[in-house]
Amino acid sequence: MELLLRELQSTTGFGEFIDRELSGDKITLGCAHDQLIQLLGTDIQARHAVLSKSGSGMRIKTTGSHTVEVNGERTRSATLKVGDTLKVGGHTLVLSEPPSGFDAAMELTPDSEVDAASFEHAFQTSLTDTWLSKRIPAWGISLVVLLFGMLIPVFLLFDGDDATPDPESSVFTDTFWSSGPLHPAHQQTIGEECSACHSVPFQRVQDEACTACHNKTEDHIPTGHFVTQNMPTERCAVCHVEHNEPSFLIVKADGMCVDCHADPTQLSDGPGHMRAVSGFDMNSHPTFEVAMLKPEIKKAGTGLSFSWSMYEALLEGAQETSNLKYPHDLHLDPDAVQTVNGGRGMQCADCHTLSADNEHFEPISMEAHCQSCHELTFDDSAPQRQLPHGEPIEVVQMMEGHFARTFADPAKKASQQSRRRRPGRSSSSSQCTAGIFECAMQRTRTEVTNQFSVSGCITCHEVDDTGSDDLYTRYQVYPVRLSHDFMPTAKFDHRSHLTQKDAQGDDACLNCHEAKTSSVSNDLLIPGLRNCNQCHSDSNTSGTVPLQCISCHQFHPLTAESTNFLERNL
Amino acid sequence: MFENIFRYQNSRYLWWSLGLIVVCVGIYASHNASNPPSGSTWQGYTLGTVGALLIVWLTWLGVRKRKYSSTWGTVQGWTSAHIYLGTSVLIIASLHSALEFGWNVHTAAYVLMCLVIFSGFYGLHVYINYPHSLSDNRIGGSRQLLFAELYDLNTRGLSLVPNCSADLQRILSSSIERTAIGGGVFSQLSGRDGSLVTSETGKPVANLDQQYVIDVVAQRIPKAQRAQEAVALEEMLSLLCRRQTILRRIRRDIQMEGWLRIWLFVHIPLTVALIVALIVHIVSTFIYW
Repeated sequence: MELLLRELQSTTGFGEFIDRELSGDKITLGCAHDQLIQLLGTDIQARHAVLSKSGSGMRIKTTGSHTVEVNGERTRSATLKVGDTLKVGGHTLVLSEPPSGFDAAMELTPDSEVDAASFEHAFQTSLTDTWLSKRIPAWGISLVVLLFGMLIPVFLLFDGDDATPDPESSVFTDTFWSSGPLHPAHQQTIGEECSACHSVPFQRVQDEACTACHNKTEDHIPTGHFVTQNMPTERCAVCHVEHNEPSFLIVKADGMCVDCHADPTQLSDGPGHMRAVSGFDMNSHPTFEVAMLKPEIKKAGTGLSFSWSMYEALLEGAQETSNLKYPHDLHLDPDAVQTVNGGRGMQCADCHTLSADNEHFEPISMEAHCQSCHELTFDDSAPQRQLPHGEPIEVVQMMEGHFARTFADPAKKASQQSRRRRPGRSSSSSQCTAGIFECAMQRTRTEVTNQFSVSGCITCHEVDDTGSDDLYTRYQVYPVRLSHDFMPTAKFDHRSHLTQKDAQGDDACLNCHEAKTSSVSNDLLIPGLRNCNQCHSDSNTSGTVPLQCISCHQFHPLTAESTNFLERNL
Repeated sequence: MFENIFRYQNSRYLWWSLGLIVVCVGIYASHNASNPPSGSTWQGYTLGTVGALLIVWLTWLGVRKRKYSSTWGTVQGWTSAHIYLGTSVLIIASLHSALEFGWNVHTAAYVLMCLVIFSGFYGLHVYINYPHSLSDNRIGGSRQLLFAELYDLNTRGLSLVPNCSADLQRILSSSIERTAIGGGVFSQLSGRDGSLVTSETGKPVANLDQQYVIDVVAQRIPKAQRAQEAVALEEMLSLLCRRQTILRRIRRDIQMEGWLRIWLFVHIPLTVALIVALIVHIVSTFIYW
């Protein structure tokens, strides 16, 4: 469209004008400087309207909600013909007959009240004039946060029968609320299922959530124990806090223990004898206590009845009563004792086999550990015959039978007389001239007396001579019971302690256990606190390997029974 | 102005904030090995509560600023407290978080808070540094006065156009009419000059810093054939040069004011989002307590 715009100059008042030729499909009209017809005025927008060719006339269409006045009527679009008056702000445009070469002609009478303010208005001079907004992004970001952080997770949480949304089905679940990763073990079993523990909204995690899996975990102090009166009963989660990084699900700090145990009197006013602990050295930690077995012997008819009880004793000065005679020093002296097959001195591991828990040792038995050296032979002429390792009555019966057959056999009788006697063995039997039965009984009596009072059973066992005429009941052997665990509530890793600088095998054992100087089995070879302190102390002391309370002690006993270790060890 | 904000009442709020930070650091330091730092210890809850209350109070500045009739403290005092206490929130919230972060609503709230505070630091920076330059550039006046002068120069310039030779008329009038000021966000902040002029060939060409039209007029003066034209051209030249100066000042003014205000388009929307994120953070914490 070719448009001739004649702008009347109001300044001179002499009908002066400026003609302008405008061409384009659309003639833009507004206050901005890039409009083909620039009209200043505070009520005129930057891009106010567009003129286009329409038949013989023109069409005006405003942008947005702006309006213009056509022949006195406010409108947003209109068709203009010659003679029509268009008012935009204070400016008046009158359509006139176009000269040749033009599609349209307009006569512009500018607004006489245009001033500097309306001139300034023609430009975007402030950021608020641009697309920038505070309100829209404020609502927008808030909505995004609210939607993905709260509304969608809550909707998924409470929607339908399934209280737990399937983590696979949606990206924006309640996992967005997780304040940190779970402990890897929990992560593996629970995963993203928040409601496994957070079962009721706005309720703290209850112990049932823990005990559903940890059903074997016992309380620190058994329920009903007098001490619990002063113990706060807290939820599991008070100590075991999840969702932290790094995970500190199990608080290992000594403070957890010594805050109370440094002054145990505050824990209880009952009959306890708990001793104060504030660290791990001679001044701050009690000397060790051990669980000891005590045999109780009672006369029962012609024999003895034994029962075992346990008692706690201070390690220092404790004497073991296992009823076994065993000199460690002799057995560890290679000049005195050597193994049957290897022909070498004995080693600790020949008898002491570490259990799979790396703390305790497999039980020691006569058959497995002693008998290869200590054969139970009793008749030099019959070295294959061995006594049963059992009740004295079985021993007597076995001898009676053996000697009865021996004296009844003429060939054997002859050989008996020709054999040389071993030192210490009675020789009276060989000279027996009585009948077969008398000789056999006489020989049996001699050998039984020998076994139970000179050498044989009595070498290792405690034997009580009742003085009875009845050989079957005369000798009573005290049963042997070796303690399996002197410190049932403590943890100790033997295997890791076998790794020592310049000490291997027995040397590593003997660094702590003074077996080489122990001549009697009453000696308790459990090392004391002072021995531990050579290498270990609490974390407040430098230069040693620090130990924490829970390095050796357990807060939660493994089973309810183990809280009463006296019973457990029986 | 900024000195008053910083040193308001002998830096009263600086000392308040430092005191608050010391107390909060003390609370945080009371964590120990059996009660390691996290948001869920009693120390964590305390620090979180302090931080949340501070954020709500800091947001209240936006309301207080608009309550001209309020006598509850001066806006200056509020702004001073806003700056110091706002900075302390950064430390208090970091202590509350125990610097444990992850892809969750809690870290989202923390990140929003950091963005709000750092945009605030930028705002503080411009409020310290720009007003002097802004005032210098306006030579003690205002933008309104600069525009008034420009409008006057434009009117005078356009009235001189008919006195010039016909081929110059279009160049001169178009240089005035097609002068660009401000514009979009980028144009305002960069001070870009998109002014155009219709050249002798009738094509629109760039009239950067009005230099094109000034050069044209300057070259024409010696070639003027009529004395009247020479006078008109000389007057036009001095007028164009004055326009150039005024236009530079206006553009610089728009640019500086843009940078002075742009941070608010970040600070305020993010503050609103932060309040929402804070609510989400607190509610979600207690849903899964």
